[in-house]
Amino acid sequence: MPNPEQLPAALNAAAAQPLLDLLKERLADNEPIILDGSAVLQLGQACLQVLLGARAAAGSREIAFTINNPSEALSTMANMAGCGELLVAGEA
Amino acid sequence: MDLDAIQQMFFQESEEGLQALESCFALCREGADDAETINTIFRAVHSIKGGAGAFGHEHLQDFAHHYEGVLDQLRSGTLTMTSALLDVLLAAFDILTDHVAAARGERSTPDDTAVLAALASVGGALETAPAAEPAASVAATVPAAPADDFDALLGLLEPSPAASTPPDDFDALLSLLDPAAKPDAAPHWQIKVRPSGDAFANGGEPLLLLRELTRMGATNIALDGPGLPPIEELDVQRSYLGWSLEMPAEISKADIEAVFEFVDGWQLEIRHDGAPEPAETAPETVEVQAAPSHPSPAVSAPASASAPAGSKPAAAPAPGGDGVALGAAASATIRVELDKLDRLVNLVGELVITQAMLAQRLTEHGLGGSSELTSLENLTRELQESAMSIRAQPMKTVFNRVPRIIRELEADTGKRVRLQLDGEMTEVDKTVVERIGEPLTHLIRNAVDHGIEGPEERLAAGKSEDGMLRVGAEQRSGRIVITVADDGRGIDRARVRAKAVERGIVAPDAMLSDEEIDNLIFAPGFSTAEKVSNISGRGVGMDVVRRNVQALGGRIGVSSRFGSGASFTLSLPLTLAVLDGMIVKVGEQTFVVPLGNIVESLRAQPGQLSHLADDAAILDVRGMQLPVLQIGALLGIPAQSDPDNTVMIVVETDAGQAVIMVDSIEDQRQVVVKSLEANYRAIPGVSGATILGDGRVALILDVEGVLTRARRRQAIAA
Repeated sequence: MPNPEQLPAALNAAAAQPLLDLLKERLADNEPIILDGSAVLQLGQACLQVLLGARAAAGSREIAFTINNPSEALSTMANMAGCGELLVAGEA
Repeated sequence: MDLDAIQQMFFQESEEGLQALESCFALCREGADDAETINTIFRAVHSIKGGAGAFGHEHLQDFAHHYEGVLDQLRSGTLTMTSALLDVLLAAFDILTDHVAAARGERSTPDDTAVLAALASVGGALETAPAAEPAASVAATVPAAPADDFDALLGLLEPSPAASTPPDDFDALLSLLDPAAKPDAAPHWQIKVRPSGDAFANGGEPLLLLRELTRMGATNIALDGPGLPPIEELDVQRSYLGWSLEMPAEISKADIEAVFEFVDGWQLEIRHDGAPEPAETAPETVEVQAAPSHPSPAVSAPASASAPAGSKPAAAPAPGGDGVALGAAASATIRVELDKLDRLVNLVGELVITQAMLAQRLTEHGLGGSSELTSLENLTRELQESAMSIRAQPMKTVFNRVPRIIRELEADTGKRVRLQLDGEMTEVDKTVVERIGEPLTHLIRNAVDHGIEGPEERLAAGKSEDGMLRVGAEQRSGRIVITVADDGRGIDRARVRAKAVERGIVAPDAMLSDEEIDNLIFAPGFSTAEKVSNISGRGVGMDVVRRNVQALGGRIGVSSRFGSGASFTLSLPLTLAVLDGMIVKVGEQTFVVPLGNIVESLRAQPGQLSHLADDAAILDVRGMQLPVLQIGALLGIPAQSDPDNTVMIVVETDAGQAVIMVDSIEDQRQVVVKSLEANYRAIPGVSGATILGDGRVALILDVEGVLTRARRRQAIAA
């Protein structure tokens, strides 16, 4: 099991491209994607889309996708955006 | 339109909202706190709250939210307007104004703790604000629920107290009339929203709007629509998501639409989940347009008409619904960028100059009297006046700030002031409106701080406890005259004179008229305040006021009666872009003397002119000995100096009358003012330039500046 990747505090528009690159890399390696959401203070739609896209891709490739320790801000914003399933571990 | 521009639009509308609030509170102070006034106050605060949420100004949004809660209780009748409540609402209004300024980056976030506590105290628990309540708890306080759409409809038909009937009653009534309706089914708004593909451009964040809807009570939020492309094709710059959600029926459609007021190109479908439906809440799909109509429901109601020409096609309408475009309402006003307006005014100015040149050329060829030329001249002037009138703004925009200044001064000084504002709708050029605020504020502060006495002193003097301050504006002879008058102690001339002597401003044995003594308060560094306060009394104010007014081409005067009060009068041009002037010649040069300064012109008779030195002379005008300013000598231009070949122009200045000596008068006409500062550099004694009909450039004399220049020259010579 790889170490969880720490999500940055600000998952804003600027963070979307680096996050996308990281997750694409993990998907290309067929590695389980384990993210730590404890530090997240802000979630914007651009990063939300990246996380949702990665989760869907992981599911279709039968790779685990998990966000551990979601912060309150991350939970609140994800639930508010109707994406609460994002925080539920998606196992292969 | 980028996000910044849209945010600017929000700030402009907030400013208008704050002005509307000030006007409404003025009515409340007079006891006219009827349902419509309270509704207007509520909507203005609600609109500011909505925009603040959309742009992430959380402090502003949060404060407006609590403010709105108390206002909602007031309009629903849960609270009754009292003077104590009005004081709290006014204090909250001031803090709201500060929050808006903070959101604009003009100041730091205000400390709103005390006012929030006061709002909580008058309105019960802070959590009672309606718009953020979830559906269940809002339903429990139905009488306090917002009723914008229905209110607006009734308001349009007949403004009456009935306008405050909540929509629930209306819906309930319709349910009773329609047996098919389920009596227990509380209808909801079914909303589908899909941000435009470029919704992230310029820092846009759709989730902020979703959060605002959540605060208003949105439930059952779910992702909706085609969703995301495969991750390999995902572009982080594009928005792919869409949502469906429900809003409580108590929230008006206009309030929901107001959340999306500042976004462009989003698909928004608002459907009422209940049958039957009132016509104004019929299912509909809207494509949010840039440059939206005013958020007022009364304006947005006709939006169900048709899309504006050239607009993007509306998204596919819901079954049974009509496709409409928000912003399609026929509006009586449009917003225009100031730059575009200034370009138009500038071009019209050029047209006026070209027309004058053409007229001169035709006159030289004997065609000056042609009817076509006369028509062109009339049309040009009409066009110019129309263009200038677009820039005109009512003084109300300045006067609206006065009540707050008075409130602050009352709090600082312990004095009580009754304010009377007159002539708020007097229109004047935007630049004048923008630049008159500072001197006017100083005059008002000065009147309250120095003029109006404290309650005890007033009672002892046989006056009412409350001081009276009148701020008025009116148009007089093509100028705007602003008056700031108080019924305070007036100018103590003996003290003013003593202070002026002490500071070396006048000689101890100087013979001064009452008017001259009064005018000493405008002298640089003059102050009669016993102690320096934080309101005025630094001794720089009145001098700066005078200079600011003069910079606007205006004059300031004061009249006073000791013990009864003082009245300051500012006379300003209505516009700074054109000027009525007298065209004069000095040597080979042509100058324009502003007509506003000119009292009369005359030829000096033998014995009327007394030479004191080479370039110093006195003209006897019906017994008044007036200093003569020889423009040629002052500006270093070879010119006539003997009385037979010169014309004397008597001018009015802040320091009294004086005489300008010129070679001849050529004409009197309106000229287009070109800034010397912008095109060259500032020159003392010259306020600008203009282009004459024959193409020559003529300098416009600044009479006050010329006088100062002459005095400085005489002082140096002495």
